[in-house]
Amino acid sequence: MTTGETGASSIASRILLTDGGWTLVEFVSEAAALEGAGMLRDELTHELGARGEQARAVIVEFTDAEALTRQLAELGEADIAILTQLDRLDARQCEWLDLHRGNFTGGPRVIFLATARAAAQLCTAGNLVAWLGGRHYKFDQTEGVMDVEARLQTLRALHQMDNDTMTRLVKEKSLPLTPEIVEWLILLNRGDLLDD
Amino acid sequence: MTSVERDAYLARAAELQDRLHAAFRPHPWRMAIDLHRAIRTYLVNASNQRLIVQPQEEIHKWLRMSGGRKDIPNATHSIAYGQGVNFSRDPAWPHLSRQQDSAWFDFQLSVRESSYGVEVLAYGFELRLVGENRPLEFFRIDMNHSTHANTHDGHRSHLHLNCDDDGFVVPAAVMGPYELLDAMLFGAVRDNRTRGQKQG
Repeated sequence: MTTGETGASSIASRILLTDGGWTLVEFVSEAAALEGAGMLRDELTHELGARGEQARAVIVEFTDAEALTRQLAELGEADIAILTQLDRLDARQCEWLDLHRGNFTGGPRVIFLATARAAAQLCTAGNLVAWLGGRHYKFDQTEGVMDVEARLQTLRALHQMDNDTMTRLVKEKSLPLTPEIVEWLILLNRGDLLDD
Repeated sequence: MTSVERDAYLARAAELQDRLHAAFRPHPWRMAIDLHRAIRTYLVNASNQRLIVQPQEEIHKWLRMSGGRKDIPNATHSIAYGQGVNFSRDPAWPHLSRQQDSAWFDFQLSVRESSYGVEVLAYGFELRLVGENRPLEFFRIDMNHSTHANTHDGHRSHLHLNCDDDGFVVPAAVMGPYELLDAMLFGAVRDNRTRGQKQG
């Protein structure tokens, strides 16, 4: 069972509140998972730095279950492994992981980045599901991303003019560059008009 | 220096703005996303310490940045809390509220990435007070962008006191993001001491 759509920074904060255990993050595609891996690593690295922790967040590419044991053994208990390429996980390897779960005790925290198919596969492994303890999220790629059109709409309403009129007045230097006008230009990708 | 002609006044205002900007020491964030994350960490800390009532989840949701994470030279970005410019001051819009007096605020910064770090181009931080005996309804700390077209406006960095009129302003210090957030969190709080009263 998932706990709703959640973005990279929220997931990073939640993972750092846990002392161990594994987390499953579900993506719409393997490509989205690969992009999400970088986002999660960056957010975790920032959060760890902000907390003064020495632990690392590392992307680990899954090849097979036995290799994973060796890959995770190289990381410390406080580290975080972000596991990608889980579409390579088949029923046999899933079973192997489930049986050998003890190998991972005392290892790093692990985030499984999976498509719906791989997530379903993982969730057949009863012992692994127990390790997830409900930490199963659907990835929200839009968290922290501005809804540009919504903001533009409020700017147009505030100034009672359209984008073109505003841009023309700025070019004519007849509009003071207030914070709202500066933001408006930026949201229209016209930051070049802010050059002196 | 004693002239009170408009030109003389504007020249002094421009000199003051130059001085305020010269006194400002920017923090060297490398990219806009670094500043976005730094502001988020500040707000999450404020939430954890119960200085603001919004939980972490709301901060993650409503602190937003435009323009993505790509490393494009001289890229400009907007970093803001909320879904738009709340010019009607509608408390139903996403905002941050102080725990101690329910005063509420939102903000927006415009920045440009450059080879020497993130340059803050302009900002607006507004705090709205609530309650029967509030001394004012809101104040807003604004910094306009500096261009030649702007010099005749006098005060690039200014404070709006209870009034949106562009003329109803007084000069303000140029501040960094943490200082501006401090002004929202800790500024304009009653401490029950009044001018001329003996300290208890």
